[in-house]
Amino acid sequence: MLMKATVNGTDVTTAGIALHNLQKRYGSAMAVDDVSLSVSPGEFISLLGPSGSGKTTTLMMIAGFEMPDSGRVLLGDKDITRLPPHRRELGVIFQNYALFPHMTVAENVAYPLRMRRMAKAEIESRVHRILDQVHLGALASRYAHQMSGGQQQRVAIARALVFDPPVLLLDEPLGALDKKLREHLRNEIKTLHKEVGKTMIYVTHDQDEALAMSDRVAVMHEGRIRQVAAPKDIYRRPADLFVAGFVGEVNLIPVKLKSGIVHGPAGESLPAPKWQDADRDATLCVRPEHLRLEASAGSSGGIQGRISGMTFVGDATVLEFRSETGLQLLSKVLNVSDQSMEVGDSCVASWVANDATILTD
Amino acid sequence: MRVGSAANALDRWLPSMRGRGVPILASCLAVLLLLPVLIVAYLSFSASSYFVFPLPGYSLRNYEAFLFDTLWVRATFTSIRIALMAVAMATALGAMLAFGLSRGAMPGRGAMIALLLSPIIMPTVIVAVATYFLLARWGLQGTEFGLALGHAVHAIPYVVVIVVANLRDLNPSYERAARSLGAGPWATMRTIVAPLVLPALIVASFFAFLASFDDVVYVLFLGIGKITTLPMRMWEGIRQDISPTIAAVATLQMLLATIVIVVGTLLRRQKKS
Repeated sequence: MLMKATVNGTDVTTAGIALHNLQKRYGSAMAVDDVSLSVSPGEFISLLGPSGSGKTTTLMMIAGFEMPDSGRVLLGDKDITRLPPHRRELGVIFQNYALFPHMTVAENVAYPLRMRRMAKAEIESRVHRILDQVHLGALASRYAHQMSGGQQQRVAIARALVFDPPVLLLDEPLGALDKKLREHLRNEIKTLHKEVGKTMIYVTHDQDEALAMSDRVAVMHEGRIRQVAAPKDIYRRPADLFVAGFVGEVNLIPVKLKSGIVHGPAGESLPAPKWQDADRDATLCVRPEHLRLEASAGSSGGIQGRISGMTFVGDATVLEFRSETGLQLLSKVLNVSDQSMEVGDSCVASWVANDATILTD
Repeated sequence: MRVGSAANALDRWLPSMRGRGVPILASCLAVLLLLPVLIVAYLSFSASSYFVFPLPGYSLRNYEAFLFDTLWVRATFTSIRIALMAVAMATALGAMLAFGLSRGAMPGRGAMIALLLSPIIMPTVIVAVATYFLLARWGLQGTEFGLALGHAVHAIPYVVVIVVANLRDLNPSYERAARSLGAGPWATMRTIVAPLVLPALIVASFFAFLASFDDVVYVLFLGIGKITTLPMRMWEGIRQDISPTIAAVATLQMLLATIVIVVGTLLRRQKKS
């Protein structure tokens, strides 16, 4: 069901997307393996994963360029699994934007309206309005190759939005750009999402992008969704080792869980959240910025070792720590005051219990 | 003018001319290659009815002789007719082949390309004789359509090579973008693919035209004396009486080829900008 929501006082068309057990096989390789996901109307969700994780294939099945071997795609409550792409009414923004090189900006933006056989005057006024909205009114007669990357993105957005689709699909739109521009454009997309209130599905391999822009992030690996959660929860409470390692830096400490206490590699007790289940081996995840290196152990315990290296990275210093059992850990400390630690100093690595995550897979 | 770095390696062996040795050598070679052409063009303005060098006087009588001789004019129209038929077939089939080869994932792609290019790799005489036997089976020997078929086969490789090169530059996401914006497969073809491939198709059809227009070997075998194209008429003209009219015809033909190449280059440049 399409619904009309009200954003900033104007009506917008938006709809949710639901994926039910999508599967896609290329030869013997499972590109997408039993993916289910429910996106609510107006939500910004990212599909995050390394290349080959199935995120782009999933997006292409939503857009209609790939047919799933099994499973269903729902737009609102309408089944669009078998619908050809031009009947889906979804806005797609491609990598490198795919602006038609033989058409001007205005012609590019008018294209979807022309395909809908709209009256000429109506097309003109709509194109005019949306180009003004993205501040490109003055460049309407330019060609794509005469514009900067940022302007091209805005044309692509205008072209994908001008026919008022309920959902916008974005396939790594910032992939080919340099870092500075990427950060700028990512803010533009975020602002746009607030303004238009459309459901957006954003494919990226860049974890910073996914965390900064999304309401929720779906982390994909080997064709499966490993975790779907708000960026903060993805980062702080990763569901498994892959998510922990892929999103941000992480220290992985092999531990033994025994009668409610977490024991480190040398048998020492370590700070960790409460554990109720049976005794077993597990991995403790601690982010480098949560790992503190201090001269003596606090009451909640820690790992004995010494500092083996130090790297200055501008806003912070990364300290390398080597425990007595040979475990390598990283600690990231903001450069707020003088570092008193030196390479070779012996110290204790510890953290606040709730900043650590116990993973048992 | 900068010639490739490999050519610049020659610089050391050439007399020092402030690094201009290679461009000068290249220019000399170009003149050497073009000289016969220029001499033919020069001779075409002869006032004499024999080949005399240097010219006794200038006139346009050879051009007149060409334009007002029914044999020559008829041969010209025959050539154009056959070339247009060959162009239509070669461009349509070649473009489709190019699409299939660059977009479709088909088995035996390499073998198919080798087969396609064989007419320009194998000696023309062999292909022409082989084509003759094939056409004779259907009674098409000595017909203009049969000759056009032969020319089309000869021209298809040029078309395929040009169009494939163009399609390689054509980002498939343009087609996907069009589909996502509401264009069906046919509308996508008409509004996106065709305009973007058109310059290459025009260039390809020019080359197909020239391939047919220039040919004398296929006519010799497939025409079995019944078809007189322009090159065939020239061939007969040379054998019977050596008249400078041939020089005029040759000059006009070269002019046509030059125009085709210049227009092709301009079209390609326009696409790049």
